[in-house]
Amino acid sequence: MKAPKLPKVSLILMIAFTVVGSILMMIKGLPQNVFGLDLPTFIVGYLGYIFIIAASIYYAKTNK
Amino acid sequence: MSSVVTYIIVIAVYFVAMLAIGVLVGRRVKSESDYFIARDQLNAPVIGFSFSATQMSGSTYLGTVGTLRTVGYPFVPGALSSAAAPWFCYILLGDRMRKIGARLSSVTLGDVFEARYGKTAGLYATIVMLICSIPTIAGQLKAAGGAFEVLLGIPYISAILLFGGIVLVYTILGGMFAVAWTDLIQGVIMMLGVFIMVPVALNACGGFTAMNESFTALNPAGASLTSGQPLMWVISGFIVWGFFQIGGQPAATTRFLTTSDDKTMKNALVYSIIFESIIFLGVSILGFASITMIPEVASTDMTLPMMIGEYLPPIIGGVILAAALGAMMSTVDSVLLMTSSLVVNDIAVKRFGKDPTAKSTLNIGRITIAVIAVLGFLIAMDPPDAILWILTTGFSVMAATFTFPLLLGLWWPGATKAGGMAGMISGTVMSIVWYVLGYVLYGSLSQWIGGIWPAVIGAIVSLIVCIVVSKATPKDDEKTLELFFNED
Repeated sequence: MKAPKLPKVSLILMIAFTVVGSILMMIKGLPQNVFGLDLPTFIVGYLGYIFIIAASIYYAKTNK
Repeated sequence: MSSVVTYIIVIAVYFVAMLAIGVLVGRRVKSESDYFIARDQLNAPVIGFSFSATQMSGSTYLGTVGTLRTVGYPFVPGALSSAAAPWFCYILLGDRMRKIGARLSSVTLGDVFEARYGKTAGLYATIVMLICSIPTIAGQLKAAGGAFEVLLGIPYISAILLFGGIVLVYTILGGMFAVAWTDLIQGVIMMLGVFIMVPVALNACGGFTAMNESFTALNPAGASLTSGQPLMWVISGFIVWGFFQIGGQPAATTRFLTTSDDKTMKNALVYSIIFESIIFLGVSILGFASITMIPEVASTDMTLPMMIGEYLPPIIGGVILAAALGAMMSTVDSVLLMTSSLVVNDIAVKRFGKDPTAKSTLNIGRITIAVIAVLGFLIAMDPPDAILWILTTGFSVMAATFTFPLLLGLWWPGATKAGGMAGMISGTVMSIVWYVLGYVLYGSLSQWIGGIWPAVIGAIVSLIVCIVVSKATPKDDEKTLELFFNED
């Protein structure tokens, strides 16, 4: 019997996505000077998609 | 020609195309396996788009636009998380299911649960999936009926009969071939809808910054991630809509049984993630722009149909509406097919000894599709108000029931039959209790203690119970463990 290998890099990226995203959701009171939004809102709402696409392509190419 | 007539023509062409696909690809069905999973006969784009189109639904195109309009940016983490669902599902679940499904020749998720945790667990999983599928279908029918009524003036009941009837026919005729290929086409149309509508929306608002400034002025409670909603509601939504798709969307994750090839699966992930990101980014922008474009709406779920009616030439509006219908159809067809495969494979063949190759057995599957569709229709005739919340009930209960028992069963040899079964039951019970408590305290299915989603609390309880009971019960037999943990 041989247990499957965990995709460690992807797991770390998932944890980072969840933790960093959650922390960004807690930051209050910043000015809305990034395209009419505060910085955490812009990062989560718009840049987050780039992160998940890049992370998925990384896994597809490396299996890690 | 009036706009209504144009919409009807475009949608009629779309419906005929879907039926034609059902008839054409239905000829490829040669066996029960072909009908339910078309194993190794679908390529990466088809699998990728089919997974994601199934996962996204009327709640995406209609419900999410409406919810973003009213709730604002606190709902954006949920949208991002939904887009991330393929990333979580393919990596944590997909590859393992692909390998084990190929070894076991699995047709359903029930097969996987039975092989890992025993017959009772497999039957329990099947029953939960069957029951929870009905609200999903009702929710999609409601979305379609509402859209038809607003834009086309077709009475609600007639609309849901027409929509449901089309999906029923091509699903019955073509099985997984029809479902997957129509999902691909529906997905492409959904993306086209976003590419058309987003520039129109941004232009109507005066640009991206102006859109956000206008939204802040009109809905200050929704202007940032931290405003307007309890923090735990925002964070648990961020976790639920992505990670918990693993257990909450068996109709989508069944796609992982359709291929035994590693490269196909990985390429499908890339198609899925790009597709979903485009859609969720697009509907986010449409949600925020809508408050400027359409200041008053009778029902938030009809925000997008009203935008279509006000701002687009009818022929293009018809294409966008077809995209929204595509989102609903792609979910309904997959859920219907899944329920059919559960009844045929997990009940008729395994419990009652029916011959899986017999035509009568496939006919049981076709009858099941019709029965489940009728049950969904009956609920949709007089449904609760918000589409999104109808759908989330079934999703939450399945997410709580299946997520951790499935993940532990696939990755941890120490998970035992007793642990898996206990984990599933405790997840179901806890999520339902949480819904009931929320209803008793707040009079609503969409408000919960501390803002914590039932899927989250139910899954946490499921995880703890699964681990504790597994540690306290004897290890599973070597034969089961060799089937699941025999990596090259």
